[in-house]
Amino acid sequence: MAEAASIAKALDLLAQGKGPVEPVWTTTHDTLANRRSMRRSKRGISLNVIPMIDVTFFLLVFFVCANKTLDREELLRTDLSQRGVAMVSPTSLALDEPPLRIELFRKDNQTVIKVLAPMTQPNSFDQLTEIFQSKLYSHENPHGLFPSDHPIELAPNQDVPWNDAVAAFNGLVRAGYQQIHFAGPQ
Amino acid sequence: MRSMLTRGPAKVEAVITPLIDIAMLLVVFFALVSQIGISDFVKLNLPKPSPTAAVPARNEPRIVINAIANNDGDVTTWRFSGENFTANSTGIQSLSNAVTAAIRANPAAEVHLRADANVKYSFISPVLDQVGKAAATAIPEHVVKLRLAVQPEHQGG
Repeated sequence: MAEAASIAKALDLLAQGKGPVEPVWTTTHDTLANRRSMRRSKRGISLNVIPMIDVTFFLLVFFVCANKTLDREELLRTDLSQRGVAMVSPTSLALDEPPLRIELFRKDNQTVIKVLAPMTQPNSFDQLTEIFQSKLYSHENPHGLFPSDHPIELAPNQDVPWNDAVAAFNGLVRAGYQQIHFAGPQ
Repeated sequence: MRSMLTRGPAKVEAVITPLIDIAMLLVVFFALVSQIGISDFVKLNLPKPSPTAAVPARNEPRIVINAIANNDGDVTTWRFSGENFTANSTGIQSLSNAVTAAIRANPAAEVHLRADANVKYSFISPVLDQVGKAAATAIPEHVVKLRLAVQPEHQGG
């Protein structure tokens, strides 16, 4: 009711051309502060950084994924010494054993495996693994001929593709041998 | 009292400059790392032994030698540390010198050999010889930890 009266009075003054009447604040300091804070919250400044963060994280994820893709390949481990020197750990009692030589050569567009030892000759890389697994000396196989650290020299011929050289190397690693080295071309 | 009312709302600022700085630093870092990776890892058709005895690469220092070959399996270029070396005796000697310097700088580094599956062994063997000699030149009686890069079959292409 009081508000309606003050509005009517203000309208009268406006009609007389006296302009708006300055309100007389009789409220306490706390009330003023409350009003100010309410006004601020209504106007509210917002800064939209979400798209920027989205783009940044998108870029990060992209580069991380790109790096991971590059690292997907795997490795076959060997040590590279001077050619012809077997990689046997020298101890005072151990005698250097001559390496067992396995030759690879091409015949009729196929890679042929030749083990230079009196044993069954493998027809494939899987068979190479099987034969050498059966010859591996261990507690489970006391009749095996070669310990796992017996030096093996892999000698691919010049025209043998790298894929087959690696397949033979891989087959011997799978069989359990640890001292496998590449020889020079024949 | 009046001035307090007409002052208007307080100025609110969100300090996003450090956020942008950090974000851009991260982006630049990963971009550079990615570039290093690209210079070391040339896209090759690596051998795919199956089943493989290979193990995933560990985060160890490495020296990566790439053999870039044509369709006949002849290596045309050796790439090492972003630099190309022609596949002749002069180029292989230069490659050997670069590998010697790299091994001397980082003796614990593994040497990763990446070659196409169809590359003839006649191209690989001289480089293996030279890498062995390079290691011996860099550090006497040093044994190079050679790693042969293969592509696991289950990952396709």
